[in-house]
Amino acid sequence: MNINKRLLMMMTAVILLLTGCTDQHIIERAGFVRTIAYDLSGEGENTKLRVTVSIPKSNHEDAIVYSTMAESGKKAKMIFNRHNNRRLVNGQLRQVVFGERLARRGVWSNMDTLTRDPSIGSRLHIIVSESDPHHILIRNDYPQGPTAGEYIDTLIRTEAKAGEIPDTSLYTFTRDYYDDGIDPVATILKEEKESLSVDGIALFKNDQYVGKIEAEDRMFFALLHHGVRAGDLNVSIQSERDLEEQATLEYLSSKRKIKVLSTRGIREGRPIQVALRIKLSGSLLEYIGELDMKKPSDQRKLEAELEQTINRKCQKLIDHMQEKKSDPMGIGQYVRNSIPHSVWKQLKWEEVFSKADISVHVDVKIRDYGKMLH
Amino acid sequence: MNEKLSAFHIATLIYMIENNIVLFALPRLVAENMGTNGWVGYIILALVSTCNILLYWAVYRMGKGRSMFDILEKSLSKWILYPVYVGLAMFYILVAAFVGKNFFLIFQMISFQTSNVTFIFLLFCVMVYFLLIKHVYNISKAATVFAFLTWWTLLLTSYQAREWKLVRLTSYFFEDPAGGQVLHNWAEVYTSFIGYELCIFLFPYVNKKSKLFKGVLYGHLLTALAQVIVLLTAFGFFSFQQLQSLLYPIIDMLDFIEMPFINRVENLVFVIFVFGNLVSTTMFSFASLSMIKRIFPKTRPKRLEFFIVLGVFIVGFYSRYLSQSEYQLRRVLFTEIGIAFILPMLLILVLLFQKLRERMNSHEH
Amino acid sequence: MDVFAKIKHFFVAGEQEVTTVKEPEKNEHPSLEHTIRQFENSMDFIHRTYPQSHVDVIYLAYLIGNDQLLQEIIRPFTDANEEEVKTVLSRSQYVVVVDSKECINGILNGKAAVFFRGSTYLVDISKPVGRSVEQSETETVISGPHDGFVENIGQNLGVLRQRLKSAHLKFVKLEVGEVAKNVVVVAYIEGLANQEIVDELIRRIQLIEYDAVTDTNMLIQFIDENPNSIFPQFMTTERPDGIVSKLIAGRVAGFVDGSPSGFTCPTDFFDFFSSPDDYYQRWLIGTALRVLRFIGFLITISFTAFYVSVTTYHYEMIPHTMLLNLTESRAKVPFPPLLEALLMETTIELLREAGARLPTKVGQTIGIVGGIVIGQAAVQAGFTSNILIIAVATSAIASFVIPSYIMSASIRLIRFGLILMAGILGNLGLLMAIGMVVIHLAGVTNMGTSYLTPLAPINFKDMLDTYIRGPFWALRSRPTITRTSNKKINKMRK
Repeated sequence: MNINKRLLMMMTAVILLLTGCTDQHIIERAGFVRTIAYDLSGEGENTKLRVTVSIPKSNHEDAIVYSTMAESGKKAKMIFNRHNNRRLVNGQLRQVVFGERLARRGVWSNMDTLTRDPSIGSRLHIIVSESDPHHILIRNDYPQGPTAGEYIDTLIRTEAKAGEIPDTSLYTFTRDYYDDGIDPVATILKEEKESLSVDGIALFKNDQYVGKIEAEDRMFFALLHHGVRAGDLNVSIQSERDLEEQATLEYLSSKRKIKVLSTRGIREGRPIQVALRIKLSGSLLEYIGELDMKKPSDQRKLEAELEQTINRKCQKLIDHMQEKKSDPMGIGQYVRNSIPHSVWKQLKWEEVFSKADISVHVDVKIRDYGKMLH
Repeated sequence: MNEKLSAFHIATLIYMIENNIVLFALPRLVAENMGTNGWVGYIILALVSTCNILLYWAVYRMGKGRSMFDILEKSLSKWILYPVYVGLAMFYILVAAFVGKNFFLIFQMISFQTSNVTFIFLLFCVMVYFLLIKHVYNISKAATVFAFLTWWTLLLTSYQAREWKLVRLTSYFFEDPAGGQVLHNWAEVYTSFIGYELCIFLFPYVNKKSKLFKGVLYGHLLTALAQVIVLLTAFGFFSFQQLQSLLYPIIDMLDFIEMPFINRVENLVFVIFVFGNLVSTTMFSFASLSMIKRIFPKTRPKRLEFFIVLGVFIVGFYSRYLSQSEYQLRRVLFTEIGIAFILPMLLILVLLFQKLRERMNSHEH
Repeated sequence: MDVFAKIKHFFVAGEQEVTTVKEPEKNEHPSLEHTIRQFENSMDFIHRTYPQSHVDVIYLAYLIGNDQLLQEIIRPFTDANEEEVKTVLSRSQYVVVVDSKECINGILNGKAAVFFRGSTYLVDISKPVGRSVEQSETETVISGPHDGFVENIGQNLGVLRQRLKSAHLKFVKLEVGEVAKNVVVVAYIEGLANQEIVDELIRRIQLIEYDAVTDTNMLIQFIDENPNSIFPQFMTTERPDGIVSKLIAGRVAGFVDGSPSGFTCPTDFFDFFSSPDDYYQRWLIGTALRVLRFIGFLITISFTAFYVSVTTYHYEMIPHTMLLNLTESRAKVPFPPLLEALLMETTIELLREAGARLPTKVGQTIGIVGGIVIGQAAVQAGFTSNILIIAVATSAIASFVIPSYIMSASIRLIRFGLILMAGILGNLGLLMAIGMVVIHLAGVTNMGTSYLTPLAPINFKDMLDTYIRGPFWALRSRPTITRTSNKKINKMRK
């Protein structure tokens, strides 16, 4: 009992000593960085980073934006700390925007800082901006949302939730960056007069931005890249009836399967054969064209035409990716799993990929035709 | 108190001892040391450690439930044994201290970076002390409650399911380990099992009805099962090369979880494992206590416990940096693996020798 | 003392002290003078003499009923001669006593002592003291029996007998308190209760050395194994149906005369979360209620502490939209969250205590003024954040979900420790504090059984009636905690 009492007293003393903690981040005394933008300040070899941060104010309407030139992100943070009356913390960081110039040069050094910092979560969005990222953040007159940070956040979340664009978070980026059978992607944002828009998908090779999927092709890319859960797809059908017909599938869901058909002669540089099977179904809620949807035969015909068009589009995208030697679909992973380890280790996957024979098979099922009787 | 431990409580106790801080690095340890699909290797190691447990079971059967001390002291002189006891006691204090301290050093990486870790560790040692002065039966009761407080975290792996892909597991087995395929590396993974060998100190506290080894085996297999689930999740959630580069992949897995009312649950879930660590540290201290009590059986109650916890605190005080602490932890856990295998074999030899002598004695008569 | 002795003293366990119980003093034959001397200088002490028949009557004025006095004393003894007195005293209600201590105890219990020719008789002329049976104030119930125990033990035991018409129900009378001599009754059902527990309980009650034990909740503090624990270790209740169900489960109950509550043992921690009306609901609803109470328990101990921890250290955990609201409401508050929380928790405890002390009608008004006006004003004045008010109020309300008032008070106190630790070490502090509570609980025992049963030692059958309220068809056995020899329900060993 005696020792117990003494120990309890000691514990009280410890508690009193501990109260002078330096690790408090009392919420109203901290400045939460919501968005960080990195860009290069100019051309040439020795240009500094231009770092911009956006800190939302608690009134939900404004944000404080700081911008500076620095050698690294952490150095910039120290400069901002000199300005800000609240200590800047990274724990609520939700977006990182890379300027196009920086992205083309390589983003890994900055990404490394982000993954190393334990206070930063892995859910933050990775964005490549075609416009000046600094300007995107400094504007706060977006009608869609009070601050740029929140606007970007909700915009990307909504798009990614439907599966129209890949969810490009820090987690997926680093995961795919490390993986030798897949290349990471990021969302491209573009500043418009009144708003921001998702302007496509950035293809990376290692950590360098090498190619772009245009915004109108993003659904086709989504079909190739992952399963879509609830997207909308507009297809312009080039039919033999020499009119360009429009069909829109809504609530579209898809499944993707990759099958490695042949890896014979892979060491000798013979192209490998890979088949991509896409199964998709959706509601046809818009059709401007000549086919009569009342007829089952025409329905089959439309499905077949949709299949052909999608197939063509996908094939074109794959050609583009092969040209850029970037494999965001993860075909490499499947190839890796079908050949011996030693062979894979000697393989230069990007070369093999660029020459690979990738065929796409699309299977379209129209679930329903809306509430009209066809 | 004449209550005896029951199988269930032994199982939770062993589960909690084995679920110490090594868990957080486990996916990386497995990826780094075993290579692709290392979880299969992990299962193999789990079987190896099960064989090790069977050795203890043999000791229990052959010695008819006598404690390790009774067996040894029957054949060997106290002058030989006491220095060994002291040495082992000191060693267990080292294990307890390094296991305990390591947790807080990792914790300081996530939050409380500048707080004085010694004070936090002191608080922890106070908890260890209060647990240690209780009968081992009460320790097991506390361990059961702690186990219930930690079990639900396994359910969190379901959050990873959406990003989980079979293709990331790769089709290769044991390729690309960071340091080559050597026994030393597998031993590093084996450190995650350390804890079951403490069952030898429970011999005096069980009777036939307790089904000690049923409990130990269940506890051990439960740990293995839980960790295989975690490993499988991690291997399909992270890419293999990424897994090798993440220091504590479990923390990264937790930080991915986002719920509408709470984000970044690693801040909460990580600290829940302070309980696993508490039980580990306490049980290693308990092992040390059993040794010392054998030498000084008549000390005042709570005196020895106090000095042991003081020892743990002092040793822990000198392990201040994470990298240093990781190194020390590996060192002592490697030694502990050795002890875990050698001790039961030694005891079996002694028991065989005793049986032989008995037979000879009965021949003489 | 030389050094070696000191060192030895330091290491070697000291011999245990043996506590001895005082033997009751030997008593002589009761005499009139001795009895008068015992009671002199007390205004309620009445001494009547009937000179013509040499009868002396002694009683205490406020313990007796007038009708009884008239019936048993005044009518028979007035104008009676010695022979008549002899016949009167041979009636069965006049009991001869030979022990002066017994005589004095009899007078203290409302009897009259009749001294006649050197022999002493006691006759019961007491009137029942106390209020009539009413609903319990602390444990109200919506559906189910509404009666509660009262201060008179005889009435309480009567209520018990009425509900439990079994010859196996036994009452053991004990006396506690050196000065006040409070009557304590231990009740149990023979064949269901473990006799060892009954004997141990009786032994402990007999060992109590204290001037007066005025309430059951006071008594149990003398007989528990962990006097320094924050948790009550015996379940106390004011509801007869609660006691009856515990007795039938094989537990042992106890009452103190003058206290409207009884206690039962062995008790575990989770007993305090069940209420007799769980059994009056359908089992699914009863289960939901139990689960609700455990949720209430969690909220009570951790909600405010979690608020403090998150707002002080773990800002990352707050979802972004909530964070801005939280920052906005905290922006004007001059204190750190720890201080803010302690302040508000203290305020609400003040409100609760004031509400308990004040008369019911004023109490309600104060509750409204305190709760709404102070809360609203505190937020507007920038004294606290409104989210904290929600946290504090929720945890205060949640604490009252726990049926036992004594337990809910303990839990509310623990909460302060948790808040403090959360303010110092964030989530780690919070969990370490919970860990300390668990370590403490693991060491607590009640009548030799673990306080954490059926969680540790684990018993899945008992869990059916602890964490949930299983359907009656599933509750086929009595809880193991009672260590009853008669395990199956609906079987009474003859």
